[in-house]
Amino acid sequence: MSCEICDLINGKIKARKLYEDNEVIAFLAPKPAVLGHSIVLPKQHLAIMPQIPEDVLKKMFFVAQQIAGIIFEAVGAEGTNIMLNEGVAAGQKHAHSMIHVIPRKKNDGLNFEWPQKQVPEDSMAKIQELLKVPSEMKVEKAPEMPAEKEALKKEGAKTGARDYLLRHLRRIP
Amino acid sequence: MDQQCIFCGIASGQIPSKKIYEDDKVTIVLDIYPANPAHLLILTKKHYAIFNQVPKEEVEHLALICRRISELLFQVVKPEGINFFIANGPAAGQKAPHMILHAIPRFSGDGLNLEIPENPADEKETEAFYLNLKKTLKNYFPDVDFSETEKAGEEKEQEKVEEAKEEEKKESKKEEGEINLDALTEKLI
Repeated sequence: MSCEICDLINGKIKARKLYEDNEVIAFLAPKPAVLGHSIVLPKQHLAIMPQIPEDVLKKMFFVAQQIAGIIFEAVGAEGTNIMLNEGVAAGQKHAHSMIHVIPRKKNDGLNFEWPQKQVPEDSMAKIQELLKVPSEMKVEKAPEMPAEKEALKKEGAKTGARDYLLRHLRRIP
Repeated sequence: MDQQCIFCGIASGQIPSKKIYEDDKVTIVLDIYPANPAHLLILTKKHYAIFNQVPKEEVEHLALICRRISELLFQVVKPEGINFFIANGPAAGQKAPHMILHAIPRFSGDGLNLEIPENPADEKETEAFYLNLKKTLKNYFPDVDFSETEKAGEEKEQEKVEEAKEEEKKESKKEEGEINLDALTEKLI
């Protein structure tokens, strides 16, 4: 499967590297929103966060933070946006997960603001109830669920809570 | 904790909110002025104005939180996408002086535009920026091998030197009013 981002990592496309270790790599974005726009990625071709091993994702976040500081200084920015888009509907362009670091200046032509929506009180209460995570279910101790990981790999797996992931992946070009 | 900060109050529970998760480092609440239904605010319990002030341990914790929130939202809310978003500084759209990590479920036709524009990079400007940046990068990331990109950079530098030489040649020949065959040949080949 061809992936433009993998080509960038493999050096098939000219890349300006900002960081690299065994699992994580960062570049200046080949098609930047503004000068200094950087991307932080897993070296492995993985589309969305739940597929990225925890240690790799932790490193990606930390590297993104470091790069945000470096780029902020380098372009003399007035702010930065850190974005991670999951799925085409969220603006994800490649089936390779990445964190965007975008230096910002006033009147730079970018706008990531959103209008506020009115959600009725009863809907809010319902959503809250549905999403409530038991406080004893600490993130750090979440089980890895290896069986489901297997299911993820098998195209066509229909059972379990993760088939949404497969459906979701198919939507990525 | 900053007594004046509303989001510190929300994170600590002193200000009522629609909380969905809490541990020793973060509190996650529903945004009451959401971009979309189930828009979540991931708040650090400690007061940090921007992402860059968050210590490494907490940044890593935020990574795991985002991973879990992604799973949770896809399972429960079943959006078609999710934006994870941080604005550092008013120029980036930050509204409150407390670092907020937004998780915004997305649905096609939801009217939001968080698309990151893609522009062709200005090669000259980008190369100059990158060459300059590399000095800083080497200090920050001493273990990273930049020799590959360095080579490319050196080649560029070499090109520049040759270009300059050529220019010089042209200039001098112009003065003499002669045609420099060597330079011409070089150009044609």
